[in-house]
Amino acid sequence: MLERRKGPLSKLYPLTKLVFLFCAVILAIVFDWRFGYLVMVPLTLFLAAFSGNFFSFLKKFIGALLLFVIFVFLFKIMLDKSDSQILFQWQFIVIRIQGLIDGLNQTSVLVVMAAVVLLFFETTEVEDLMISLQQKKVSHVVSYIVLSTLQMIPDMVKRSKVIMQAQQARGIETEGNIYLRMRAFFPSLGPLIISSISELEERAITLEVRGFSASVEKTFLKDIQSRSIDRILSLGFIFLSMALIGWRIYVWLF
Amino acid sequence: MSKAAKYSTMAILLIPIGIAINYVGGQIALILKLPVFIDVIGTILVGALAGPLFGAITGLVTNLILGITAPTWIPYAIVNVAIGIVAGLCAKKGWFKTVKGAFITSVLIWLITQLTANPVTVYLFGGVTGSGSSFITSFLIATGQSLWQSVITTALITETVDKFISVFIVFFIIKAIPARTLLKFPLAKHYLD
Repeated sequence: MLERRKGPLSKLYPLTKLVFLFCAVILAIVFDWRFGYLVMVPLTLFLAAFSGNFFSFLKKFIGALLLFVIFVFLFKIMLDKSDSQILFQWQFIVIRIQGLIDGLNQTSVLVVMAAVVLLFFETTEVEDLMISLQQKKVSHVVSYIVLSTLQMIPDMVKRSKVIMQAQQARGIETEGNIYLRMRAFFPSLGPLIISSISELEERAITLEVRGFSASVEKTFLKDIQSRSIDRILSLGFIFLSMALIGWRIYVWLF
Repeated sequence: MSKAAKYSTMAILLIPIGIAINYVGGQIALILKLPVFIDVIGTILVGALAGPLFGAITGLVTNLILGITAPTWIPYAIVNVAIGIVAGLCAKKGWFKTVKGAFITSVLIWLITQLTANPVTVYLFGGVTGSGSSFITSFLIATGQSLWQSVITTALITETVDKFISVFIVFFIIKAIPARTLLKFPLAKHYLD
């Protein structure tokens, strides 16, 4: 968290990128696979390269989607009963063009969503996003929940490992047949949950002492500001999306 | 600090813990190589201790935060929200107090999971769930079943045991929480005599 991200996209106001994210997903729902695969995927790859996160973005993008995309194409090809042009045939495997187009259409929305979400968090600190939301009058409770969860997850993973080792030392088997492994589940998770819940009251008091429930406006340690380019881009995205959707409806109706 | 404010601070603090439990529960099931997901224990627990609203928030934020690195989780947020709401409502009926009640809760949570998860899987994901269970689905499709039949059958195989185990784990955990801690949560009166 300490390492500040550089690159031109990271300097944009988080909400500008959030507007872009929502516009892209809505457009992907309205348009067919060509928008997703021919416009958004190249665009996000270009933006990632522009921002200097190309390889890290590509790795996450492929990691998140590869299995999913392979299975969708497998399903669509198996379910395809059309008599469109055959592209490939080997014994009982027949790949037709319609099956591929069905696969592209089915995956397009999720591919776009994954691409913009991953790009968003590749170029935005969650902390900055929360500050910008709070500046727009979103409750500080939301920020607390999100930021404290991000701290809590690695913390609890670490503690669960300690508990599992302690239970192993006391003779609980974590390997072997399924019955043994199932019996190890509760002793691994139970103490973790109960100890976390028992600590809650101290945490509550700590927060209250710092004025968590106080009904005054909260201040920030870090200040981020939206610049005029942010306003221009946000409005640009919204108008462009509305124009494209209008055009789509027009084509669809007439 | 008023009583209401204190309750809600405790409930708010419970949410990050619930989310972390969702994640860690899934991880432990993975480490122990169990054939179940067990990734909604936290949502059910928060719903049971703090009510439907807090359960729903736990479910929503869990999937959004996991979505930061694995965006395919985001659409399934609706399932996790529904589970939180059902768990909260069942807790308000006092059903987490008895084995019979926990059983009814399991059935309802299982039902709402089937009703919400399968449409997302079919319409948005084309039948793929992104886990090992997709192999079952593709086997069923290969045998000539329709997509809906295959997805529902897969979900019945993988989800049923999962949801029953999850609810009963929460049931036993609530029994194990000392009364003086339990007392601090909004729904405490449904557990203490």
